[in-house]
Amino acid sequence: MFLLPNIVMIAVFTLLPLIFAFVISFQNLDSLGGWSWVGFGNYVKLVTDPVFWQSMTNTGIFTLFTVPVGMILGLGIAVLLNGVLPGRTLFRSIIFLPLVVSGVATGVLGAWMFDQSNGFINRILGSVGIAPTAWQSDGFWAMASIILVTLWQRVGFDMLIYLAGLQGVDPSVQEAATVDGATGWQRFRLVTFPLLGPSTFFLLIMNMIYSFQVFDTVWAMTRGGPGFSTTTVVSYAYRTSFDEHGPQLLGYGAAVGVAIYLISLAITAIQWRFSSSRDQTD
Amino acid sequence: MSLTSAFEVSSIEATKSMEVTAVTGPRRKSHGKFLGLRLAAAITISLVMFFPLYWMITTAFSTRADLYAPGLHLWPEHFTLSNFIDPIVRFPVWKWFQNSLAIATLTTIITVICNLLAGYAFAKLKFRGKNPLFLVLLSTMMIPAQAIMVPQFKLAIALGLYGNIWSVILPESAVIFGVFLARQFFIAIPDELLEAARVDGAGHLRTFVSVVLPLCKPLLAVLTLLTFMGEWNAFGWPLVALSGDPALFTLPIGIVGDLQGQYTSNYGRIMAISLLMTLPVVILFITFQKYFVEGLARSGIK
Amino acid sequence: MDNLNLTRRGLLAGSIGAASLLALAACAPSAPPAASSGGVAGSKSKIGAVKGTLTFAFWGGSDGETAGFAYAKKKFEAANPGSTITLKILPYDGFFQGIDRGITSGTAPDIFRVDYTTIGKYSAKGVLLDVSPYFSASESAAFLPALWEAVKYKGIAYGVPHQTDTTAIVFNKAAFATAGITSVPDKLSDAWSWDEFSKVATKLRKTLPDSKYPFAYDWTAAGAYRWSSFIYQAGGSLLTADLKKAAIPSAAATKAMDFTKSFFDKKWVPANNTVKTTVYSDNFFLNQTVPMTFIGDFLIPELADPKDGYKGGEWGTTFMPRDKSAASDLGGNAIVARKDTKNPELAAAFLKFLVSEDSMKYFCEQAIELPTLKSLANSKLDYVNRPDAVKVFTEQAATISTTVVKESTVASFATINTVLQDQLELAFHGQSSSATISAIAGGITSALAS
Repeated sequence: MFLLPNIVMIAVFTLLPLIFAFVISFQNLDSLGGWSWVGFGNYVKLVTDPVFWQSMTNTGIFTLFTVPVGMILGLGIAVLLNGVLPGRTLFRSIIFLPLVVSGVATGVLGAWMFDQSNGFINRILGSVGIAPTAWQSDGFWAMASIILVTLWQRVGFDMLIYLAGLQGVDPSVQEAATVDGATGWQRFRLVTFPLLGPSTFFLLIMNMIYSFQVFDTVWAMTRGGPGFSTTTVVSYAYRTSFDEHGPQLLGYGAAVGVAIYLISLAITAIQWRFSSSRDQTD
Repeated sequence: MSLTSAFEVSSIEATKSMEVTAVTGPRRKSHGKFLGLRLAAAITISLVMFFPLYWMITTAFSTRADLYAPGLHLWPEHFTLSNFIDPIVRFPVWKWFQNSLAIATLTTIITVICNLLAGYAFAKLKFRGKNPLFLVLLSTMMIPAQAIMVPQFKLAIALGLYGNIWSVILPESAVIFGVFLARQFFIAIPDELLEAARVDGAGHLRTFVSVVLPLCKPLLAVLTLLTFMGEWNAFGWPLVALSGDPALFTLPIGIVGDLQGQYTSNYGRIMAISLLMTLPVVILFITFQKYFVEGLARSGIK
Repeated sequence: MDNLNLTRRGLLAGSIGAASLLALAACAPSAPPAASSGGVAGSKSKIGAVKGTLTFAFWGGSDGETAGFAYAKKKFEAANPGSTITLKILPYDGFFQGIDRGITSGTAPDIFRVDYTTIGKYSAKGVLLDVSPYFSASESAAFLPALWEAVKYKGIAYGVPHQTDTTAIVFNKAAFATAGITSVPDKLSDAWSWDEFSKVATKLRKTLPDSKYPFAYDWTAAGAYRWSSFIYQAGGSLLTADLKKAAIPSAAATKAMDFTKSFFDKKWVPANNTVKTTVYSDNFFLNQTVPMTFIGDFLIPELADPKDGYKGGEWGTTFMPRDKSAASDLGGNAIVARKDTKNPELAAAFLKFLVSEDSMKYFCEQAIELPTLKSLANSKLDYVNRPDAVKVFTEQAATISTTVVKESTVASFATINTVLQDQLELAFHGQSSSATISAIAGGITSALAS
């Protein structure tokens, strides 16, 4: 009875559409409703499309740089702001604030600040004599720019979760470690950090999901370019299905979506296993 | 790694260390010692984090010519309000604001209620298939939103939701993140508390209302803020569900959608509108912020 | 997370549970669209009195366009008592997604605006109202032939050509003077050759600092097809005359590709003036990164805006360069009605009203766009902004050849345009001309086959 509302909502509005998306992924469906069965055709096309694999690689790189870096920064800031510090509430609020701005607005702000000819970043680099960086026409720098914007947006969340975790760490454990002769860094590395394990695990899962599904910020900033160098899997799926001036292959787009779902599920399952086995050996 | 072994290792390493510092003094002292350094670090980080927001504000109050004038300008050369005024005059902003408010509020209420109930059930009730069910629900977090938009739209029509705000509210209320959060929070509530109520003859529902609910103010704050924030800024699904009727538009799809539209991107305007849109959520955040960290800390996600 | 004592097996069991539900979903393939059964052309050209309510959806492109449509609505309702046209102004982003979803679910507006390069998709799927019966031979002959051709699919008209626009060059007069460019073509017949254009770009490059570039081109995003103008100028085409096969690789395609790729190598265009970018060619001009740009006439109001417009001084206009021939792209929009609209007579009447001389004149004057009626194309419209500039675009529009129109309106054009987007983007970032052309040819072949 307690479960009913939530289960009904999710079953009707998420699982049912997911099932239909799965069905659609075996069809050739266009945006005006014409369709035919194609069997595994869309999946064959998927694994043979080099752009899909490139978007997988891009998503991997993006995840690799946004997740650990964001978590390390978040943890560092959380530790910094957990101690006694004048104005720490203000600092916490400021660091959390970017999360309040919508993804689309963040993307547009990013596009504007990293604008190659008139953006703030190149202007300030120019004012100290550094040649303008090709944020929008060089694949490497374009990827760097979306990673930086994503970190800016997400570090507040990482900080918050770690702050919450730190508040759950019993101060007496720290005292004991201090008495045992541990330096601040040792105390952190050997006592505090292991106790933050559940926070770390939660953030790892949440951040991986977010990074894997990144879309609106990237789309607003780079449109997946230059070339395909910032095309992530979800922006690839989006463009395949929803680019109004494109072929709008809804069946193929659904196949990409299902693939993304299954891959995220697999990654999460692996993390789960990795994490539980780690708990056992410890 | 167990705590005892951690202490062993730490003391061994401490003796090996070349930089053994004073270890006995009260903790206050070391705080005091680094306070200046830590304060400087906090200020630097905050400045870096705040700067893009400052740039958003500066851009919003600048004329277009100023934005593209050569050289580095750290504040508006010619202060202007027209980036705010023009869209307000041009679009039914007030109507869209009301739609946004209605949709975000109703979604938040429904979501929070569903999440609290389900989180409680997953934390405290015993029934068959609990864990597999929870995992099926949890796995819905991994569905890319775009992948199910087409079926969701067909569904909204089939259910007769199309053409009113419920076509946004109901699908957007079907989320699992809050259940996860609530579940972690409720698990931390001692079973004895609930059993005491049960002994007094209270049913599950009465226990929930009279014992559990009063305890979950911080959780409520976190859930409310996160849900409202997400819904207030929602762009993808509302654009799909409401695209047929401009009278139902929310602020993001009405204004951001239009300004990002066919022609040029006018950064001053988009930043002005983004600021206006962000303001209500900032106010909400400031109101709830004292519960915020506490709520998360007690949710068991640590 | 310690409390979440769920096993991996549980997770897998959960997902299998979800999968088994899939068996519940079953349905049958949809029937192909029924062949259109339009009446004899012109048989209903006298529509008579109409009444009822219809919805007309368009994207809010500019204030001028909105004013133009509002004017037509008001006049039409006054002329037809008992009729109501509800205007729906929607954002451009998501416009056609909304239309498509509406069509599949029966909630689409009765009448909507569609660009010429997208109309083929709808006509080929048989979802549009055949308007041929409502236009007599003389009425259809009143349109510029190429544009009336643009709304036809297999000989049947599925909408009305409402306005057109095309690309030409806008330039900063002072920058040209500084670079020593003294004569700028003011007649179509005098348009720069590719060589002359190259000399102009070279001169500009010499006088500009590194942070600025001679020009920008409007091939960004769905504008990728505007690149084809270079193929047409070089005397080639994208498709064969029967529109059934790719007409590339060809010498013209190679020449066009080499020429446009050299814009980047010679730093004639900004490095981010590519296809996948957030900065469009008008932005580059407005923010004075370039003193010359290729843009559509519908952007003139934006440049001429006293407050947010161009602040770089006086600007003039001139023609697209030409090689073997002159060419520019087909821009602009048709207005179409849904086949299953409940009141086809009223829809047809409103479509006809939108392209009546008076409505079209007012619309084009307000929005700075070009008319599709011969009578208006030859007369002078009172454009609210920069009539001198519009004159150049009007002359340029004469270079939108029948070949350009036919190739830009094939049913699979969207797919071809996407191939162009991806391949041009790669070419502008270094992919060789021959690899790009053969990839485009391959893409066109498979697009035409499906």
